[in-house]
Amino acid sequence: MDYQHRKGYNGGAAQPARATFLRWLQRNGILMQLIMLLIVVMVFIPLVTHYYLSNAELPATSRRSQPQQLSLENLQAMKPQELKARLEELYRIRSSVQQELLGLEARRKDMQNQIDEYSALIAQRQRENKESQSTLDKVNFEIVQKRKSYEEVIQRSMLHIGAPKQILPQLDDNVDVEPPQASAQCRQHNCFDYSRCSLTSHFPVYIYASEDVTLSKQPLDAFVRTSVANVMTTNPHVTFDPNIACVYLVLIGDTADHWQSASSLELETSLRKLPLWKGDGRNHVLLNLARNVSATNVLYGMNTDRAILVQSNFDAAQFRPGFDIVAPMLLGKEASFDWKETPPLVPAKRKYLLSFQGILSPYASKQSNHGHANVENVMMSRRLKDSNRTQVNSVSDFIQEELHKLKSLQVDNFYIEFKCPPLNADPASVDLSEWWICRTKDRLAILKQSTYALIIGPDEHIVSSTMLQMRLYEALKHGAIPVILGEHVELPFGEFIQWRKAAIILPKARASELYFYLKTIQDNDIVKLRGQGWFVWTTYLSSAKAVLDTILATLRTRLNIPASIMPAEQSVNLFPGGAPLKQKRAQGMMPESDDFFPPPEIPFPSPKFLRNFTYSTIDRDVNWNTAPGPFKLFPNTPFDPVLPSDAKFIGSGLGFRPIGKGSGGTGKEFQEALGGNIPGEQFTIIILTYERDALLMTSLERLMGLPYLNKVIVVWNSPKPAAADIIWPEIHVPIKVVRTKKNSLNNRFLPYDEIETEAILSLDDDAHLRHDEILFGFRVWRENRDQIVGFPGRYHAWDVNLNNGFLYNSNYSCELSMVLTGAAFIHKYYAYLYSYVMPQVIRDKVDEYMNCEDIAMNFLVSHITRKPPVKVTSRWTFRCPSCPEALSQDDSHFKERHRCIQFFNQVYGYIPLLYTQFRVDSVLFKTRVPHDKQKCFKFV
Amino acid sequence: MQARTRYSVVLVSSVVLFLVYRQWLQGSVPGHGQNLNENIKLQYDHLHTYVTWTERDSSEYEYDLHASPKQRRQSRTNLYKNRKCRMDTCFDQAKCSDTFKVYVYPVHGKISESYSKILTSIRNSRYFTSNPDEACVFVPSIDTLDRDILSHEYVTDAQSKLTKLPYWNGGRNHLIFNLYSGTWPEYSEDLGFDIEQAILAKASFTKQSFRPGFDISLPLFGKSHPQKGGPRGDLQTNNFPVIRKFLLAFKGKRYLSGIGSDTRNALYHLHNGYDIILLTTCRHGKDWQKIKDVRCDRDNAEYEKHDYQILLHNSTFCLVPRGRRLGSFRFLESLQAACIPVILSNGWELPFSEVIDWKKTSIEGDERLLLQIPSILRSVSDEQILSLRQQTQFVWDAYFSSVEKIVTTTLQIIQDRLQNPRSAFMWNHPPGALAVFTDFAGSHSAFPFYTSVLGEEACEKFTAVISVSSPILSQSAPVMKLIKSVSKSAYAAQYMYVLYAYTA
Repeated sequence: MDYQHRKGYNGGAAQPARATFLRWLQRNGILMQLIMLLIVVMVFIPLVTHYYLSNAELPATSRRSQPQQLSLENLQAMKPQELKARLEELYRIRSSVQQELLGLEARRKDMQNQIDEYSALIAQRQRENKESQSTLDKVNFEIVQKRKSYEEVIQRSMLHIGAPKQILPQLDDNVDVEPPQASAQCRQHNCFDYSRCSLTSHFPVYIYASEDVTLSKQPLDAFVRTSVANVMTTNPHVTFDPNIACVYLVLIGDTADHWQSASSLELETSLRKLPLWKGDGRNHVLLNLARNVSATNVLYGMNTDRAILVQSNFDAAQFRPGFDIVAPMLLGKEASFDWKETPPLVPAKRKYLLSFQGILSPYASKQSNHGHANVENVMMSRRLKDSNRTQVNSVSDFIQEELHKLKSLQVDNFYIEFKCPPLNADPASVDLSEWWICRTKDRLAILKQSTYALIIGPDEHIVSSTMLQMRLYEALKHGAIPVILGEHVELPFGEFIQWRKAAIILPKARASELYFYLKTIQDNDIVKLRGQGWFVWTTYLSSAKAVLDTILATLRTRLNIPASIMPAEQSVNLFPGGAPLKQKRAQGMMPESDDFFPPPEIPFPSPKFLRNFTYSTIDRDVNWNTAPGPFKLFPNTPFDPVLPSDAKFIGSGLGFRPIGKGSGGTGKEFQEALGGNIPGEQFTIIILTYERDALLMTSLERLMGLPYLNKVIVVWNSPKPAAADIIWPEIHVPIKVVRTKKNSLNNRFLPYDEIETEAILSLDDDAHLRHDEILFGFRVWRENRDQIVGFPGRYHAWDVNLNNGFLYNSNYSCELSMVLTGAAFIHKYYAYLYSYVMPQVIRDKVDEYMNCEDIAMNFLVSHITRKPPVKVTSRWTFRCPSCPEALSQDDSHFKERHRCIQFFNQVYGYIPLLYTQFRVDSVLFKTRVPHDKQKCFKFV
Repeated sequence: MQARTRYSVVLVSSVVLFLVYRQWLQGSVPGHGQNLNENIKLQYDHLHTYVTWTERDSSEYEYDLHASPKQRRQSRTNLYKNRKCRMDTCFDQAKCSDTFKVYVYPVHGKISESYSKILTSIRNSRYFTSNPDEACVFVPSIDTLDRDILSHEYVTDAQSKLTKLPYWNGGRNHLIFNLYSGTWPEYSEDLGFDIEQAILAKASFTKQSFRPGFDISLPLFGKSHPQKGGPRGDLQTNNFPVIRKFLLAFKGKRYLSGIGSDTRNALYHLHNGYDIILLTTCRHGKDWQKIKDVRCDRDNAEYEKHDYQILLHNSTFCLVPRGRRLGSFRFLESLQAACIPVILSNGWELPFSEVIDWKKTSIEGDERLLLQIPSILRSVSDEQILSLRQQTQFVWDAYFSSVEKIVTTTLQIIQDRLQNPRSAFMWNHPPGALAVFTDFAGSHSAFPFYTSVLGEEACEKFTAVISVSSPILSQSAPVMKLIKSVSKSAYAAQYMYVLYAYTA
């Protein structure tokens, strides 16, 4: 049925099928188009292809002619003889061609050789060209540099200040200054004759011979007389020509009986009889130096005209600020003290927080009827004092009460005693309000155990007294920080010494708050106060020499006159003629890097003594309150202020060498100019050598062409003269060989007068530093002039086993506190300090061990600056054969260095070394820079 | 349902188209061509060929080997403007519809000897007309033969002189002769002026700049080449065996350096002293001493031992290598001396190559395959040698022996292009195309001298042409006797009397 139906459909639908197909076609227009497109494509592609293919063949068919070719078909038909002949001919031709080819090959080789030769020649010429180009560049650069330095020399020659020249004042110059109404009105401006003291006069001081001065029936105190006489002969300001003198020193005391039998009137008249008094005693300084607490204030109420008073006892009415000088007592030796007794700065807090031993007016009853021996003036003063008696008592009682309260405190340890045997002294010379010093044996021992030492000032009408001075002296000496109650007190040399850095000064009214106040002071401040106290004590109070020098320095500082010049070490040339006998021009070193090193400049010295007059004005406080004190004038210091960076382009460009003329840069521009914040300069290399000639010569040779080098100084430590057959290298700068007095490592740091630059590069004779390292080190040093800038770092490590001190350590560590001076930049200032200011015991220790000079220098610089040293670069090439890290003598060498550290610790009272955790590399070191850009240095 | 139909229809139609296409492709590829190639391959399979004659290589043969690609490019661009000139495009054939006449411009000033010979030859030829209006080809009177700037015969300002010619018309229908072009060191084909649409008849033509069917390549002939009636070829007898004393000879300069020096410098390899005598001398120019190489002195000594003419006449083959230019005098000299030229000058369009089949006359070598030359020559059979040698004589006599013949051949070639062309057969068989007039008959067999060649029987009848110079006065006059005896011949077809009328 189904089949039938289908069949019927199919069979009967032939006509309809066509119709449906047509309909279907109409419906599917797109399909039709597709089929048509397919047909068209299939038809046309072969046609097009055929057309082009036939075209492409055309040239081939149009080929015209071909050359005749060797046909090989008739070879078979050839006779053997003929074939042989033809082969032979071909062989002949082949050999002929071969011959030619061989000839050609030979010629080719010849030509190739020639080409090679020529290219070698070209390469050589190019190299030569490059070399001469670089020489030309250097010469050009040199010309520019020289022109600039020539201009600067012209400028400088007008500005240059040498060491102060002495301009001698004439007697005729004396100008009569109107005497003041009363001597109590005297101040520096109205009582001092400046005309005798030119700024550049070197401050000449005349001291009356003790024979000329007979002021008292009693002779002068023996110690005072002799020590003053001795000290004055060594003081550079002292002159024996009164005509040129600026000030006149008159030593009037202390007398043997402490003025007990003196009369003011007699004294006054005998002063006026002094040969140079000239009626008003102008520029006279009356020295009344006490060694004993019994010394009396004999000048009180006396008319001393224009003379300046220097003594330890001053009444409030008597003291003329800025004119008179409060002097400490001469309690120490004549000229030195024992460095080994330096109080240790640590621990900051000692056993006793505060100690006080004293007794108030033990002889009060005696004193009241003791006035008969004194002159009328003295009696007057006593009466005045008595009138204030009640007030004094009330204040003293208040303080006493508060201290008693403290004593009862259990939290902190106090040593407070109000009852004790008083010091032996004449009660008449001591004011009633004075606390007497106890005569107990353990007085100094207690001070050594005290963090603070209480000093209670006398009554307000007394600004300074011997009792107070002695207490201060002893407290400072033993590392107890003075706590002074009584703000009216004038401390010794208070005009320039900032006592608040070394002592705690409080008004008496704060006695009740004293404990609280002291507790607020932190350990670091305590150590600082103690250290400063030690500095003040050693520098200004410790000996008669210190006191006298300070008196003169005070007078000099008032007058703005520079101190006397720190003398440089006279260098004695090893060679009589100055230069070594045999010299040979050193070969140009193969450059160790591709860095552009500027050609060496002509050696020029660093300018010196530029700030002679500013040290005593702008830097006066710094000068007086930091080591080494105001006594000496240094040619340069590393602490000079730095100009703002625009100044060098606007007005103050003298000597500056900005990088790229200020536009900055890397590579060549950077290498060509020093840049930085200070004017361009050079450095001196100092090589310490001892009988290692060959090593020394190679080291010297290596310095050939080193830019910014000013001079090489070889310190010839050997007592033997140099062997005559040594050929010394001749390099671009002078080499001076300096003979030494003895074989000492301290000679390395002697401030030789031959050193004309601020920067010193101290080198071992076997140190090998590349030029780029040296130059980079120099640049770093210029930014850290007050620090040691060196290559190999070391540190001090706590002895964890014994727990009792520091040990020297040269292991790898990420903290360092010293750099070895076998390769380090140091300011010449430190050479002066090392040789003349640093305690002699340290230098002696260095000589004793033949070791430790570098540790000593690191201690010194860190002590002065409170900064760690600077380590530069990763020490690529520094090798140190003499550093016995791997040698058998290791042990003794190290032990010595441990002992050095411990000894120096004792001398300084603390370890000045500070740790640092960074190393200095140039700015673009290890920075990825594009290939067309340059680094600062290639390798450092 | 509908979608299925739709797709099946598309599928079926594309299958059908594909089958048809494939069938057609197969049919169009010639199967026998493949077989042929295989055969050839088989034949030579056991031998190494020296050069694979790929298309690239053979086209390279057509290049002047010594011109740098840059020069070739330049020469192409220089000529490019009229590069495609053919007779149909650059020649006004209307002027030549009935007659082929050549007009020569009147000569002003001095022209070179050779050129005056050429012009004289034209004037004396049957093509000459003094009427420019009926002329088909114009020949300028400006001497363009020597375009070497260094030459003293160089005519300056040829360009402007040409364009000033009254019938110049962009060079249409003009014929320009040239023997030397270019100068040291490049010897380019630049004439120094623009020939525009003129036909260039030039010696040392390169295949690159030659415009086939338009330009004409001339042989290089010297100043002493005779004006007309030149000497016959030197072959007196056809000896057999054909071998002469020397197989191959050459005597000439070599240049040591520069263009065209390579081939000549390498000739000494082939020299064997007894049957291949190739002599070169370095004496050339003023300062040859400066650049001479190691062989120079030996070569110069050897050079003197043989006389050029004796060599020519006693050698079977003569080497005709290129000189600075592609063509050389040596070509004609060896043809005349019946010494078969062995041409070593790649890229040279041989003289009159349009009509002359040089394969019958010379051996064309390839400079790159110089060292094969002896072997090639030794494999030429004696029969071929004889044929080649005779052909040299025919070609020389027919087309090259005098300036007149060269010029006439040139003009004849042009005429052939326009009307009644002579067949290649005629050109390459004695007596040569110049002696054949196609006006007379179109078929070869009409000319009796071809019959032997064609292997046809000559017509057995003849026409007797009897010239009578005196009046026939009696029956017994010798003329009458002659007529009688001739008429007895069975083959006599016609008689023709040529009677001279006397106007005594």
